[in-house]
Amino acid sequence: MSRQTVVPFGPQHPVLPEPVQLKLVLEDEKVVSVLPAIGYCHRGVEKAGEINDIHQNVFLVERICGICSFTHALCYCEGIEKIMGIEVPTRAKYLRVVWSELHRIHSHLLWLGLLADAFGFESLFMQIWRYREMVMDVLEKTSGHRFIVSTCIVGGVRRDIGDEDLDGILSTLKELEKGLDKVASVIYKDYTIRKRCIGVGVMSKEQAIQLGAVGPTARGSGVAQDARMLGYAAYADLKFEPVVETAGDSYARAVVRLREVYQSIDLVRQAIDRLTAGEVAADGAPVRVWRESTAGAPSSDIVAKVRGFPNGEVISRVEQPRGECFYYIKGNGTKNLERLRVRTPTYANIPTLLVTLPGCNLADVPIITLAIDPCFSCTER
Amino acid sequence: MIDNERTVTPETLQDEVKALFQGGYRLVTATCKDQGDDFEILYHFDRDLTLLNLRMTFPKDVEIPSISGSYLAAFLIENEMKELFGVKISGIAVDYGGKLLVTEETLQTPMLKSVEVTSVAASPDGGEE
Repeated sequence: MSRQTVVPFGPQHPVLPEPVQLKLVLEDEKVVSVLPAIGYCHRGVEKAGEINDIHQNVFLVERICGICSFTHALCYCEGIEKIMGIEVPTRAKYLRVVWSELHRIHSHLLWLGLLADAFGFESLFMQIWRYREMVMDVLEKTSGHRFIVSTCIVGGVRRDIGDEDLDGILSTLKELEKGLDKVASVIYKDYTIRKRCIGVGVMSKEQAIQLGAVGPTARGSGVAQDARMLGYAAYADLKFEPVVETAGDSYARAVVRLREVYQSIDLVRQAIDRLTAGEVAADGAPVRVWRESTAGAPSSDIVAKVRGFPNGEVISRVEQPRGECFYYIKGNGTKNLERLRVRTPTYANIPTLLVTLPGCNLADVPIITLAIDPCFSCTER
Repeated sequence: MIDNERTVTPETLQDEVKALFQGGYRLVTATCKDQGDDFEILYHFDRDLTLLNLRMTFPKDVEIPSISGSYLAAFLIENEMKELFGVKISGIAVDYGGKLLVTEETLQTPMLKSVEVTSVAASPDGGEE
């Protein structure tokens, strides 16, 4: 009879961008069962959301995660706007799409690089991250920050993007696509990548639905669901379909993310093409939205004039790079929320490890874990 | 009130959830709220991007059944509700015994309205961090 060994994977591991511990029960080299343990970076964001006022919460939620930052703020703002009946200007909706898709591009490129790094393909990792820097430069140019762009506010966006910068985005995306084609040919054809990822961590479509998987993790198993189809921001006006692969393995999830980068480039082009002149925030008289102690007057950027406080409850969903992000917001007519509930995509995808890890070899554990694109700062809030 | 919601009780919860599982619904998450003497839990399900919500209000001293028998993924959410709110839930498929997110050193049941949190954390020796 084989002897069982318990091996802790994490919380510190070269392949893990953030801490999680997977207690792996092994028989020889095979994983028999797994128990995930989280809690290393729980920050009490939902409690803090009840202490801050509704505008301060935008700054709070965009710091839940540095990679999905804008989409957290977007999900929150969409919820508050729905409760309060705020009509976001059309130009702001398209700008929200631009920043959301730029986040998706840089998140997926980050992940593709980490995947290459996970099995020692260092040159591909560095090349992908070099292309990713082009997107980070665009984010810095349009918002002043590479990660936490802080451009989404209740009622619209804080900054406009001028024509010159929009042309700059388009030419950057053109260059990025050329580089992406070289990366794609490696991912599709390289023997090492295919050997390490095909048939590894298989999850069927039925299992994906039963376990509540979302995003590329689910779409890699044939579940054609993408929260952008709900039509928030300006997505209802744009042409796209969920990117789906059917093999259900780690390679399928990688290909979904690669194809989504191309899709996001196309969506940014569509959004810029449809941008019309106009205000970027609802009823745009400038007001202070931060505490009294903030030094200096608001800049010439437009900030929203939002009257009153939310009273009622709402559910808001957006498609983050890792999948569907869910916010439940309840206001009681005061400046503080009664409840802010955040469920991020990795939270929904962690249970899939209970199905994909058992039966695999120990050497495949990093690939399978990475294939859900885990973000534990999102998960634990 | 949110769209597309139904009211359930601790007695009817498991049967309702089982019917949703057989109907192909995906568990999105659950939201717990402290309502003073009661807890209110909203279970959120999705099929083809349409949400269906089950609302359940019950006294704080009542133990509710787990739905992880139907939806295994619920184990994370139910452990979180147990720790952060102190909800009594029986039969969770994987029970972390109160050690999923919080530890002995941190605040217990921090999400209860009666637990006040200030913006400055006190360090163990009494100074400010």
